[in-house]
Amino acid sequence: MQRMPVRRTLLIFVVISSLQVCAAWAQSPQERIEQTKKEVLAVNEKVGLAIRTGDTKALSQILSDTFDYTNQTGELLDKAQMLANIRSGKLSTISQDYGDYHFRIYGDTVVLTGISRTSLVYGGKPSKGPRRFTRIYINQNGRWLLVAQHVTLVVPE
Amino acid sequence: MRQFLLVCLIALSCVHPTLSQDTGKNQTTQEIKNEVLKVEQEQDQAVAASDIKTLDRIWADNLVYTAPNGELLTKAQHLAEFQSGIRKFETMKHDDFNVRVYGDSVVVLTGRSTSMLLYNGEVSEGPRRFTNVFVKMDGRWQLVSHHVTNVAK
Repeated sequence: MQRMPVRRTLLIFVVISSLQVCAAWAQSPQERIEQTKKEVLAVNEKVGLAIRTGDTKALSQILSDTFDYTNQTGELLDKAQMLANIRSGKLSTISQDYGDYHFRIYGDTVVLTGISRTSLVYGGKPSKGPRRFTRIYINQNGRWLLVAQHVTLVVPE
Repeated sequence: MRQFLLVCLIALSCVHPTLSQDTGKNQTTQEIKNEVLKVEQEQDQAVAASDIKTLDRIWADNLVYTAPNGELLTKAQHLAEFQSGIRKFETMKHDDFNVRVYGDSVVVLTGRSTSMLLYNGEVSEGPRRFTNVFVKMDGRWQLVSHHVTNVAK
């Protein structure tokens, strides 16, 4: 295999980086916010799909290795425990319904809050919510990772 | 030519949003943890004393607070609870802290609360689990998200 000369590799890198910089500068702050929301919503939908279908491989790629999850019963779970619960069937999703999203954006960090009316079974106990959730997404090396999730059941008034 | 490319690379590293970070000063993870734990402690004392001025400083203007009953409150609404006395802490006890540092400006702190508080006249003793998110803005750590869940008995 023929090796690309170092000079050409560097030149390509410089050109690509320049284009990325120009694209970033061309966006207004509002456009950047909208772009971030769009990207995070897309990742959030992937999280939902992976949980619903039990696709722990896909979920594993989005959860950070330092993922902290406080569930609606007040248990604090790490990434391995969360994935194990899905694999073992301790957590199974019957139907999924997320909504009322609110975004707080701090550079490469997004605090996403919302309501879940997902119907699920956890440890043999069915639950329909509604629940309030907070998900913290951080962009690391161009990828949005879910670093924390916290869930609370909404008490009926 | 090589020098030119090197200069270009350095310049791009400085301005490219994915390559550069507003570091200010290089801090170790432990130093960041210590800083945030100090702010957390200051906040706990302010909560226990209903010290609105201190809470107003530590809480970001767009703080989002999810209460154990699932209510979603803004900073103004949460401060008003302390001002009016609807929410009042009798004792303050937070422990089992776990601090995750992301870069030099984001910290996710989880912990357990067995504080005794009065909310709308009702006594609550926990235990509860909470997740706090701190972001360093304008050179200081500010609480941007606080979410609490009662631990099922």
